[in-house]
Amino acid sequence: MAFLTQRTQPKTISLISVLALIVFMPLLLLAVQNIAVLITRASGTPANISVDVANALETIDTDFYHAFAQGGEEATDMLAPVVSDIRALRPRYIRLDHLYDHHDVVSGSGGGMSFNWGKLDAAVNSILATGAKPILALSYMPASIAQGGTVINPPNDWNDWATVVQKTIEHYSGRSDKNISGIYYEVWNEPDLAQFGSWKPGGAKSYVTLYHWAAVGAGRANNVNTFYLGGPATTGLYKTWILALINSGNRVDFLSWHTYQVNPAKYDQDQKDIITWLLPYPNFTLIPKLITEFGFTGDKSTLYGTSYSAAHAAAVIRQLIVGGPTYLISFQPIDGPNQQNGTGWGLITHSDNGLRKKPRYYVYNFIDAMAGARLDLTGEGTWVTGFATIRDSVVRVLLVNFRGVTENVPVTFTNMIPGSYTLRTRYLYGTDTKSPISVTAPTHQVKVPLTPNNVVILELSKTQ
Amino acid sequence: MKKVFLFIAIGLLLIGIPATIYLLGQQKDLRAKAAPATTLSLTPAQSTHAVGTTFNLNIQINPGSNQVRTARIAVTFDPAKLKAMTITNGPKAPRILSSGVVEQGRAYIVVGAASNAQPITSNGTIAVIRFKAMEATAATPAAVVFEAAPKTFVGASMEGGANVLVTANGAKITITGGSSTPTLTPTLTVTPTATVTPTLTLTPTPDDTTGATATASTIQILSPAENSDVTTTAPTFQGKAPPGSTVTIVVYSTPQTVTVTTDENGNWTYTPTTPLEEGPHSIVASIQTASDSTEATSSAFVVVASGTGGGVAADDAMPISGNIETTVILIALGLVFLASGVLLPMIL
Repeated sequence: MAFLTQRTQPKTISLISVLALIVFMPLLLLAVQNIAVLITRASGTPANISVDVANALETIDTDFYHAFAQGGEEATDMLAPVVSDIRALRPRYIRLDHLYDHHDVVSGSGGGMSFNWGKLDAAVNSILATGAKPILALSYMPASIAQGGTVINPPNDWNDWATVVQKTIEHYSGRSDKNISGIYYEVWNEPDLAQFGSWKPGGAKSYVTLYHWAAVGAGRANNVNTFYLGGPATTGLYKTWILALINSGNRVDFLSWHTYQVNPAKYDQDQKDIITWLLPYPNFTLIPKLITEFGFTGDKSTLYGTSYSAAHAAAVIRQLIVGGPTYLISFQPIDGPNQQNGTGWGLITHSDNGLRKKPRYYVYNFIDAMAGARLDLTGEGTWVTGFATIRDSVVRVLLVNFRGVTENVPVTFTNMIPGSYTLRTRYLYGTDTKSPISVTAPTHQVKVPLTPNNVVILELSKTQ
Repeated sequence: MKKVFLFIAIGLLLIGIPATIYLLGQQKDLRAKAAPATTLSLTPAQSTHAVGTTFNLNIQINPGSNQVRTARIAVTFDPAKLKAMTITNGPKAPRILSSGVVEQGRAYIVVGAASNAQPITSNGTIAVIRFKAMEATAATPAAVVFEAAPKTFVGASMEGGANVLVTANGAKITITGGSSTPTLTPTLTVTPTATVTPTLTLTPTPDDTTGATATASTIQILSPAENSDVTTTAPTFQGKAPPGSTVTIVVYSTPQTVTVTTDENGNWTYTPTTPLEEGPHSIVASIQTASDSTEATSSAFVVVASGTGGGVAADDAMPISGNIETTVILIALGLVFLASGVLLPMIL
């Protein structure tokens, strides 16, 4: 020390100290973060599944998640190149937004307004070609009638907006025109987002006013098939928006919102919340609820190209398998262009990137095997969740490991009839095997290895 | 002329008064129909069950004159006596509007009519709760009761947001002592004589040339350990069985089947000739015993690529498992340098 004292200037020591702090403080913070993550991940509960095979509950719906929403990353008929691939997903509905700003529908204003449906018809025809019906997001304001020509602004004359909505409904739902029944017309898309106008549920730039004039237009539509008008299509489920809409006195046939949340349990909580809010409004408790876009993040992410995204979809579907929305709509069928870095939301890459199916593409039809009456399943863990069904005496258990660690999941079947069974173990990514098992007691346990972000269906059928 | 107006006025009065009375009566009827009039009842109202048995309680609705669209049902009970296993909707309420929840001492669900056009207008079951009797009751039966409004809520047409529930009748459950179902030990018996997908048929025929058969349930898999990670695609499986016995080994997931013979110490080993894929696998080893029955054991393991630290889907940049030594060293170094930076100037 004495040597150092004699040889080293105090300023030099201070300088070294500061440099040491600058260099090592980030390392310290990084290490602490790593420890926090490791501790957090280690603190979850592993699954220990039990399925009562003798107690059939309600029949589950395997249609509600066969719905998709295509964004408008290109002002073209984006679905056209993937129609056959999307048809294979057996979609019930496909949503389209950017109706007016990407498809050059409206020209002029007032009495001089004219409509050219050519481009939009092509996009709707692609939807119909997949076997789906359209959900048309009435967006955005046609430039020719919008204040300042800006498509996220109110119109110069609200009657023009009403006319645009009326003509759209008459064109697609009209018995003497496209003659499609059961179309959902959703007023706007993410109106709360600055990018789409920063509308509010009241005040100067009121979504309720926008909706009101859309409802006026819908009311004027003549000679049309059954259709549904609804909203508010917000970026999340917001009570103020929902209540503002249902208290507005306008026609509201369905309620809609988007959910971009990692936590699958949030989706179930939203269902509970909206029903709680609607209980005092009995006219609205039973109307359809649509999650018109969903994903684990609204941002582009390379994880959309991985099994993480598929596991998220499966985990969300598991949460909504009872008491879920009328439709849970995955965003989106196909990537936009120039996303070779793999960050696109699509189930399929763009044609400039090979039109390749990503892992999430395969999850929907995989889950369909679960159709049947729900069985009581308990023992879900922090990461591994699931549900069970029975159909034609075959018991099926779906397990999904979302964001977890590898688990060798114990699955105990109770109230079994002793005998010989075949256990089929089918992974979304991996193997499909059958093995014979002999059940000698009413309770029987198997163990199922499940890696992170994988999904498995166990199928237990009696052979004797 | 005045007489004409007088007759017209009298005529209008004669028609108008009965018409007004009729319309008022109609409105009164309509109002009466919309008044709260719904009853919920748990049925059977009284029942007796043995400890360990499961039973259902139905939630019956009598809507009276209401046109019921939605019912939020919440019941409570003594968790020491009863455990709710499941809650679901009944045929009279075909829609589950939010998923049922069963928890300690409470169960709830929101159910609904088929649509606004098809409200519930007659008696029937709108929900079913499955209970397990946990502990014998003393003189007083265990009560299952509806939570008070507004937690239990019935919504109907023509009554705005009012709760149209007027009466909620609970149930009394008598639980008698004794367990009705013995706990049975699960037994896994793998029978390697059946067909394994896709076309493989396992035939664990003993090697007659050895003439050896197992005499005890001593088949074991020593490696890989149950639920372990294996970092090679060609792991060596090792185990024990009676010396000289024939062991049939089936490696899943793409099945590979071989038979091996144990050495004089009862050891067997096998290394697959076809590399295993990354992901979960299992190995089943079986032998024929002297009594011509099959004994088997299995072990599940996961083949992980070297350096991926876990599953086949290493999507997350953050490791899902691993050691902490590097982090500890980093922290120690950081602390040493921090301490040096702070203390040295003070000491010097």
